[in-house]
Amino acid sequence: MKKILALLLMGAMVFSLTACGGQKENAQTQGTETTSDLENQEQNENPDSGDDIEGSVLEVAVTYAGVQVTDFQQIVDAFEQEYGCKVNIAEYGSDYESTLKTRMAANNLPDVFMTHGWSIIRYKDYLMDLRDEPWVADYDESALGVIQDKDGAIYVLMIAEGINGTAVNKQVCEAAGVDPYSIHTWDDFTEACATIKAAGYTPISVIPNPGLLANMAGTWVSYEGGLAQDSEVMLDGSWDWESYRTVLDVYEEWIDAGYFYEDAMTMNDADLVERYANNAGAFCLGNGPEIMIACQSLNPESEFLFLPSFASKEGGKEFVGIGEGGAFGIWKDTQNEKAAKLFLEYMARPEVAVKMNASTGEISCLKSAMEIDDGDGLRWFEEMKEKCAQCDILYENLWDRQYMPSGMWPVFGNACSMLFDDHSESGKEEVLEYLKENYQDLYEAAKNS
Amino acid sequence: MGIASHHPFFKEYSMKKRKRVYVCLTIPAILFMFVFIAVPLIHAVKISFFKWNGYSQNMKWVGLVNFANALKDKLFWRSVGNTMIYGFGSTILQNVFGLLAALFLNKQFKGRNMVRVIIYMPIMISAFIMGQILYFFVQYDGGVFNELLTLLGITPVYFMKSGLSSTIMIMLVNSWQYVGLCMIIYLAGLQNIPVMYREAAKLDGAGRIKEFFHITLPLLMPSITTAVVTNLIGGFKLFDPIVAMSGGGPNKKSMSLSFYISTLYFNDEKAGYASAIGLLTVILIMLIAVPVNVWLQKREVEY
Amino acid sequence: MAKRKKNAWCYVAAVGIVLLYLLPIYILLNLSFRSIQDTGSKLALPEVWTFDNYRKVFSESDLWTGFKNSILMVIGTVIIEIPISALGAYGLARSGNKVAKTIKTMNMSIMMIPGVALLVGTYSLMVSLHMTNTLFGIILLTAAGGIPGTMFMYVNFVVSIPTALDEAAAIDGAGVLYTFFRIIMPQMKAVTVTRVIMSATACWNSYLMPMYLLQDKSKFTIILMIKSAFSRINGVGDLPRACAACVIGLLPVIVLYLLMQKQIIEGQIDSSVK
Repeated sequence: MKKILALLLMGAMVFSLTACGGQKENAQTQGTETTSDLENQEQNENPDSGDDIEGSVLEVAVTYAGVQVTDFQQIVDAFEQEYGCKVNIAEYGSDYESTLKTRMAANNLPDVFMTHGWSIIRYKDYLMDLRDEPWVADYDESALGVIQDKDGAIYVLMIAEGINGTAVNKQVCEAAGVDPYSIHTWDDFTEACATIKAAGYTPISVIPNPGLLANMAGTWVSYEGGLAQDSEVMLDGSWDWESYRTVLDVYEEWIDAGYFYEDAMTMNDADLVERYANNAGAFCLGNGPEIMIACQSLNPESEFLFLPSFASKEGGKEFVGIGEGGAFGIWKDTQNEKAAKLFLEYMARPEVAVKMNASTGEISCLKSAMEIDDGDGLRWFEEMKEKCAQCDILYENLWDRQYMPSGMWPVFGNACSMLFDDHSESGKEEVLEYLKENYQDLYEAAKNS
Repeated sequence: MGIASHHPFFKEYSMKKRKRVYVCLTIPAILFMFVFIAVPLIHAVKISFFKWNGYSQNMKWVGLVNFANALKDKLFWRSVGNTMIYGFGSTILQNVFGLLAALFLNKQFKGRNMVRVIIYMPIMISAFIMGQILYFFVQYDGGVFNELLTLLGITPVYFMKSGLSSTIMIMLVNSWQYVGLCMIIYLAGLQNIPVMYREAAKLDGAGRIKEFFHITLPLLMPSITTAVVTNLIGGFKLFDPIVAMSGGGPNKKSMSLSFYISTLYFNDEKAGYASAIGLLTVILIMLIAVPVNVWLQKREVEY
Repeated sequence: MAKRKKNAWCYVAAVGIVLLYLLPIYILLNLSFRSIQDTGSKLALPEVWTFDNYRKVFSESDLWTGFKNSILMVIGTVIIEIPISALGAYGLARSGNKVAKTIKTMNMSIMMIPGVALLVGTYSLMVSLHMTNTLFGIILLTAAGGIPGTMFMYVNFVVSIPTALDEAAAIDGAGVLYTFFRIIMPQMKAVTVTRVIMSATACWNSYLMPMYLLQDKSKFTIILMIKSAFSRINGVGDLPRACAACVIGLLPVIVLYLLMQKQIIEGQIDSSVK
């Protein structure tokens, strides 16, 4: 009997070994194929005709959802027609990040994929350097600041920038008799909330998310004229987070006053958009035109305007965060380099970029596109600049990207859920401790890598 | 049988040789389980001793730290508690209601078959999709349950308010969906009970309740073992409806162990820690399911 | 009179149960016929009926790709899982020695391991075998996951088939495989049909492993397609369209179930008697 068992085990091992060995060989041959493909492509290079990509199939992973995908599909259809190249769109919705992570582990990424937020740092090793592409010259200065690497490499085509501040539901404010343009500090804001609450609306229309604790934090703890200016210690890793307590105190006040939806903790983002679109709430903090556009697709009659994040005290800076918007990178091991590059060139065309940005509510950041951008996002932005001409507004990269180590974003998300779950003194203490601990860990990790 | 002996595959064997051949028949199955279950298990054990983000090349040996951390981890214990609610709660509800449904459907009435078909139907539907649909029922604002309550003049209930209430709601949905499985097992059991036992009971003048507790229930013991053990294991593994209904919230308080593992691996990039918790989960399930199985089997009566 | 009263009680209960179980289906259908702007009561019928959602879903290739992949996955899994398990169970039940018993206990414990618990290990294995993002990989994995349960069930049946049958066949000169395919398998026809249905349903509905292993949209199963229709970013989504996709995705399973309900349910009852 033992013999048989031994045989079994041997068989299994041989099987798995041969399987592994076989795969390795495969991988090797695949590797050589790739390089020879690349050589072929280089030989065929002929920038004037797009015909040579006819018949190739391109996989493009996007962070778009819902109506945005429908619009993107139309854009892609036109590309397919023009070049005779098939494009498969992959949208993973809320699983985008984890899916791409697993694909990285398998070293099998889409030919073209969108990067987002901090993740350029994560994706960098998997992206092709695109600094020699024709559209690079078209970048606006502000955009280059967001995406250019220390050594001058550019990994993505960014067709838009996102602006981040306060989304305001105009109709709710009017009904409650609040003039949103008169709000300049968080104290003004709290006062406005009280008026709105009294009128029977929910003042702050948000669900716990990283942005709530990260996007406006700078107005309290970093920027000129704020309650504290800890920027330097933040960057050298020695910040003790004491001044951040103010932020938690402010939230405590708002939660106690009932300024959030009763079920904010458990509703999902689709419920939020639905309610905000139907004029249940007034302000959406740490957000921008994206949510306003989403609301208008549900309720075309709803009206919105955009404001900065407010100052923490009289005379302090108000803040509009500028972050990267839709950004496309190319997988460095793609078999369809030529087609991928042509696709990016296509997306960089002003009329294409503008069309996509109108759908997402982001703002064009390629010079040629900026000239013809007539999307709602830009309109709201311009309107704000005009109405707030006398305000002291700081335009800068998003706070966490500027001052926090990479990887803090999800930490802020967890912290925010913790805060909404328990905003007592001990609860706040726990949140602060959690943020500090992860900040230190991530700071160390970033320094070592 | 002449053809058989000519074919090289179907050779004649002596009885002793036959025994050996029988063992060989299990090779493909064992091979499969070895490669796709044992190998990952061994791999998981290995990974659980490392600090690893799940995709990079550097793994750092940390020994038993992951296991030690798990024992100190509040979220881990919270998930253990929830997993118990999912496991035992679903088992109790499904068995009680499954048995009731089986007794009910064992009666003769028109439309009985339709009821049976409808109770069993959700089992054919993916638990993930069912959770997705049931989310529309438990929403606080505009959810179907609250709409119904409002129609009846009752103030809306915030079903998912706390971790405990979310956990219970998800458990209820899971039980509702899979009651049919227990129902079938008990229907089979009931049909298997010889009629003479019940008739004998009736002749003795036993009431219906007495008949149920003294005749029906003991004779159903084998069915109960099957139903309880399958449900217990199924409940402990619960994952899909949690994703769809609460996403583990509020504030991660309705996570099952399965859900926690996948969050750790894919969101928090703690593959080593996820692996350690996975192993602890396996141990935990076995520590509960095996004794329950043995205990129930002891109580089965022969007839 | 009394009899009728008792029956009336039955019907009230029956109607209650039916309502309880059909309400979700009603809500799903109801939502799928709405326009995206109709965010009113979920119980009330749509303000304006629209078939646009269905038109949209049908015009996309996603759904068909999903169906194709799901069907391939189910067929592949069943073809591998059922014969291997049946054969294994036969061998196990008949070898009747210590090894068999050990393996049987092992089988039982394997059934208790949740797939997620080995997630990290499984994923790494699949990566090293280059089987992520392939239907073949997910088929082998799903089949392997189903083998313990299926084998366990078959063992219970084989045990109830008298060994005298095998012995008679042996005396007639039939080999083991011949006995299995010609004498034992026909005895287990009913349980095999049930088991095929159960495995196929489980496979069709599986979510976790496909979600993590199949990343390329051209490999998505129907469940993943529906999931991606429901998912959204920053609240931007199209709920009615997702519901329509869901209805179409569920339809084949439900229709098949209703057509075959007798066989499925009777089969289940028979196979749980053991």
